[in-house]
Amino acid sequence: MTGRPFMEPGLEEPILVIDEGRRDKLPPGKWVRRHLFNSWHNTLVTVLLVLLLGYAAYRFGLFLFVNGRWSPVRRNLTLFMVGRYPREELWRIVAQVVIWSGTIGLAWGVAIAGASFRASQTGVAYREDPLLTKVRRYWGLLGLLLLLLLLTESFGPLILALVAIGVGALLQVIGKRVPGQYADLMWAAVGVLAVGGYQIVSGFHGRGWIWMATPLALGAVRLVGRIAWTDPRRERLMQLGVVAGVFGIGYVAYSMLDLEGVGWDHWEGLHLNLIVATVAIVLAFPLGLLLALARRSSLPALRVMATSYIELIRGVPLISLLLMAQFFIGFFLNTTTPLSALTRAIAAFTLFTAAYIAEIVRGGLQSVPKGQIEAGQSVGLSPFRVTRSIVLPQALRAVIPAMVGQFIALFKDTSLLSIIGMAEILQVRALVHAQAEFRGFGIAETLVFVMLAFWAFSFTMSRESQRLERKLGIGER
Amino acid sequence: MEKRPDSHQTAEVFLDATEMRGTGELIIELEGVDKYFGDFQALKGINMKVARQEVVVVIGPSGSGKSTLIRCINRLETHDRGRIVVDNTELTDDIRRIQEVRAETGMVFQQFNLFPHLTVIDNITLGPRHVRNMPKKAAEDLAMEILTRVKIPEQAHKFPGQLSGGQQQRVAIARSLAMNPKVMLFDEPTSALDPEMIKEVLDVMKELARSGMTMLVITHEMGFAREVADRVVFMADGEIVEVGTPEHFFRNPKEERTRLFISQIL
Ligand SMILES: Nc1ncnc2c1ncn2[C@@H]1O[C@H](COP(=O)(O)OP(=O)(O)OP(=O)(O)O)[C@@H](O)[C@H]1O
Ligand SMILES: [Mg+2]
Repeated sequence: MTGRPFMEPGLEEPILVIDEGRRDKLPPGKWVRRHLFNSWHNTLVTVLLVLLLGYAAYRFGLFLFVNGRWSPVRRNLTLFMVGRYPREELWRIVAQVVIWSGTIGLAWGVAIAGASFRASQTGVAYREDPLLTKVRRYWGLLGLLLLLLLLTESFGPLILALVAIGVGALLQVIGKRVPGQYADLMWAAVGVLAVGGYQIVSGFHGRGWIWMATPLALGAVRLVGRIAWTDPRRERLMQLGVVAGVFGIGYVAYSMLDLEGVGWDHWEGLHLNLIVATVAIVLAFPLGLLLALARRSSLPALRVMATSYIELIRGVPLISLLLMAQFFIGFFLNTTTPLSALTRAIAAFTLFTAAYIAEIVRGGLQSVPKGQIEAGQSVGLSPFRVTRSIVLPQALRAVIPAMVGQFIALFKDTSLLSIIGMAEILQVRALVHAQAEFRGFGIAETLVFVMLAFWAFSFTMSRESQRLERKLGIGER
Repeated sequence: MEKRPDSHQTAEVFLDATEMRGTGELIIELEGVDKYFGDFQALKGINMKVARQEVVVVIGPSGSGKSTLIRCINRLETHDRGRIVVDNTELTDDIRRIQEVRAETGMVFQQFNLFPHLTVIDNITLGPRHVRNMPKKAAEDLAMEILTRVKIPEQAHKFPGQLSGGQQQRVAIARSLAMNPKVMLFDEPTSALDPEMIKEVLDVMKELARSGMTMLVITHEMGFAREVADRVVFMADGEIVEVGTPEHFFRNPKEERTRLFISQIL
């Protein structure tokens, strides 16, 4: 990743330049001459491509701004976003957007605080990216947001966007300012906010406490671990108390709110795609990790089970799994499962993706040199510790791009929910064209809009994975 | 842990006891050790004893089993026959006991094998924190102390990839020392280094030898052997061919194979 050019002997110019080095620091005029018009055939290629691109852009522009019939999109934006979610309950989703925006802001701020603290220990000044860089980094998503705002016919969405971004920015600033020793606390708050954002839409449904209890339990396990093994106990115990307190307050505050909500079986539109993808990613990652470790385990039973599972799942189409989970699982389980349709669908997505994640992670595990494990063993580390602190971090880092690719595929595959009768965004499009006034009208436009929505998120995920890869690669050769 | 009676009476040591330094109390003992890789026998009936505070240098041609020998001592390889006893603990399949032995036995590799995703100080504190359950702060203080000893305290917060080979190898030595081991095993610690870096690593090793560390070193650095080794072991074809003081080796080795080898490397 050093960007050192590979030089062919006797050639002036490097024939292959890796990564950053590709952008040589030339003034634009010179760069253009050097790279686009340096020989007659390159000039020809450049001219042809520019003509082709220009024509394509012209046609697309015509479609977007002149011929395009965007009223089906314009008039049904809410439908595309949340489907037939009860309109009188829409405030819940508004609240969710604001809360999750704040969650992301806070998490981001705390992460920056952590990074700058570690940097200060190293004696290196931490340099935060300027605003412009951040805007450029997320231009896909921001572009989608802008498009939505341009298409809306009321000020509601604009106000929502401004409030959400404002809250996010505010919490980011707060997160950055909080001293490092409260990082655990802040992460606990992030957890509470995330869960709260979910709960505000879904309501309690009698099992809401599970969602509150899960992050609390994870936080508690982590803290108990630290108390038991490393840090001075008193201070940690106090922190544990505070974290528990934060969750307690969040829980009480939440339970005093309206408990009704709208269960997730009624979620639709882009909202549904995003929720399903997020939940499935969050569940499939640990499951895939465990499967990969099981496949390399020294216990034959475990190994055989993991291998058969992975090969079975990878051998069948995702749609068949979705259908199976939806309609036929009762034939095998011989019970009337109480699971809702969406829960089953998410289970199918999770089980499917986990198998692929497992194979990706296995590749990463194999890429860690044997000497690393031996070095860990030779200081007396337990097999668990060697895996946890030496093998996994290196393995996962090596497979970030492949893994994010799998997550992007999962996100796009949520469009298959339409096949089992759920109104995710692509299916919403069908609903739109079932409306009398839009029957057969603007069908290309609505499709382009849906594609754009998928693209904006996928592209952002892909860019983030590249950035993460670069960031984690610091100092490695 | 299986305790054995103190072994210096039983020291029917296979070489002259006068050549042994220190207390003569044994810390490593191999009896009739065989090791196979498939059909190939890499170690053939190895008998060897190392006393506390001894520095033993192992030499021999490529493929003679030197690495295999010391990798058996901390059970990175399992032996197939015979007994290996390290610090009064016999090496068996009992993983807990092996972890204890490994914690007491530092190992330095030819290729350093530092953890590239951890900073230097995290490389060093990993063992003390997770094996010795040392609090983070104490482990870091210890690491800084040892880094000062190997003369690179200023590199503490860099990543291994940012260091020179010699510096990396000194970090690897520091990582072992942080466990406060009773024995240090070195497998050609300077073979992967550029000539100008060899000295800085050898200097650290000499200082270590002077401080009384028990060391078992595979190396072709004959200057090092001459200066600090109490004994030199010559291996060929999976066997120990000859054992003696450095002077013995350089003046008049008994065996023909030894003579040939010495004449080749000098
Ligand atoms: N994992 C293995 N599988 C099969 N054969 C092995 C393995 N490790 C070592 N051997 C063989 O065992 C013999 C001894 O190897 P060893 O690495 O101990 O030699 P060495 O004396 O350290 O040589 P060098 O000076 O080249 O490092 C060699 O013939 C080698 O090919
Ligand atoms: Mg070797």
